[in-house]
Amino acid sequence: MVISIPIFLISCLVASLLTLGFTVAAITQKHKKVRQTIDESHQLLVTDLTMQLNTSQEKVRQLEQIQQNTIVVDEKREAIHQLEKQNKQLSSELDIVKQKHVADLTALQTSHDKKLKELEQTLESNIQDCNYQRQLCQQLNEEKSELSRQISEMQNTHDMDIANLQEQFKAEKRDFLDKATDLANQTSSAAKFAEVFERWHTDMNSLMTQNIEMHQQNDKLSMIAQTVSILSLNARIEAARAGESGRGFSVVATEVRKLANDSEELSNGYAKNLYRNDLITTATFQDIQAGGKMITSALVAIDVGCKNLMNSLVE
Amino acid sequence: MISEYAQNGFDFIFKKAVLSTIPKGTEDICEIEIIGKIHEIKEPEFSVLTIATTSFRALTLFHFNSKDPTHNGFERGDIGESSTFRDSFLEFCNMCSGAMVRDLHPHCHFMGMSTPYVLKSHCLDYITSLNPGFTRHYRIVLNNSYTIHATLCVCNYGVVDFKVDTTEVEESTGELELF
Repeated sequence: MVISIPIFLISCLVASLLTLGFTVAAITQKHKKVRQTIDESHQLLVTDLTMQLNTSQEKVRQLEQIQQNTIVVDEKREAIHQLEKQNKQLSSELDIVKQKHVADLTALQTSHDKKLKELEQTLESNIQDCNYQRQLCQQLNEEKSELSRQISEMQNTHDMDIANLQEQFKAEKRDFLDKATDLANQTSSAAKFAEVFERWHTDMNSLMTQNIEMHQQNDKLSMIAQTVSILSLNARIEAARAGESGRGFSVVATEVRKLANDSEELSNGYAKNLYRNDLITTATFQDIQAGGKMITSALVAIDVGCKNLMNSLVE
Repeated sequence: MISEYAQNGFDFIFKKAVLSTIPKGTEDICEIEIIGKIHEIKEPEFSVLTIATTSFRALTLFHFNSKDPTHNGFERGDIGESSTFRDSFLEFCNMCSGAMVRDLHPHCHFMGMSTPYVLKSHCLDYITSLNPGFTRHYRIVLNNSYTIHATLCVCNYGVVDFKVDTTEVEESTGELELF
């Protein structure tokens, strides 16, 4: 008995332990399941919360958009309000313009009526004038017929006058042609003036040749004066050597020297005048020669003009 | 009275005429310079040639020394058939004045030109006796070696006023040197 109790106890204990073991195992199993369930629930909860958060954020954005739209709507409302005010103002202005236009139209109508009356009066007057003009036309037609007759007579007279004038013109043309021919002949003759100018120029050559001779003669005169001066100096020396008896000769020699000096001075002045004369003579005669050519060229131009005139008259 | 435009015109036309007629080769350089003093002209003789119009006469004087050995430029046979220096020189004077007449023609319709004549340089001292309205002396140097002098003397008989177009030569012959 004593032994069976412990065995029993041990058996009970083992049984308890086994039970406990099974219980623990069952609890562990349950715990795992519960944990798994909790994890899944947690996962679902997190997913759900995330979605809710996204939805909330989207709603917040929509709210912000709505807020902005509200501001825009307010602005548009304000603009509409302004437009309505403007519209009212324009309506009032339009009413004023309308009234003015109505007044203008009324005035225009009045003026138009007045003018219409005036035009009617003018038309009446014009009709009267037309009648008068018609009568006048008839009178003018009669006068025209008379004038035509007179013109016809005048035309005949005019034709006769023209014929006479043509005859007269032909006679004058012949006369003018004769005169132009004379002028051309005279111009051709005048062209011979050049020969005269050339003759004068030839005279200049002979004059200049004479001047050259005068230069040479003057040079000789100057040389003679210088020689006389030297001779008078020698005479004075010889007179001084002769002493008292040569005093009179010395006076004569001094006078001769003075004369020689005066002659040389005169010769120098004469030479200058000759050179001056050379330049002036040459310039003058060249001017005559060139002037002659100028006149000749002018005469040639006149001659050509005369011939052209004659040709045009002949044609 | 000769206007300033006309004086410049005479000066330009004279220089242009000299440059176009002086005997020179294509590579020769001709320089024309205005000189103030008549005493710089040392040549013993000069040729004189007159251009006559109704309102003025222009005398072109070219001074030369026929004994100068450097005047070979006028004996190269560049001008016509002339053989001697004197003939060549006078022909140059004639051509130069002819060129002046051509350039003066647009401003004076009727003109005549004389033949050249040679005078001693002593006569130049009395150029004022002609009562000129415009006188100018020039030194003409060819290739820095051969020098002659010239005088342009214009006597007017009334107002002389015209304007010469000076752009013509500069455009067509840019190599010409005018001083």
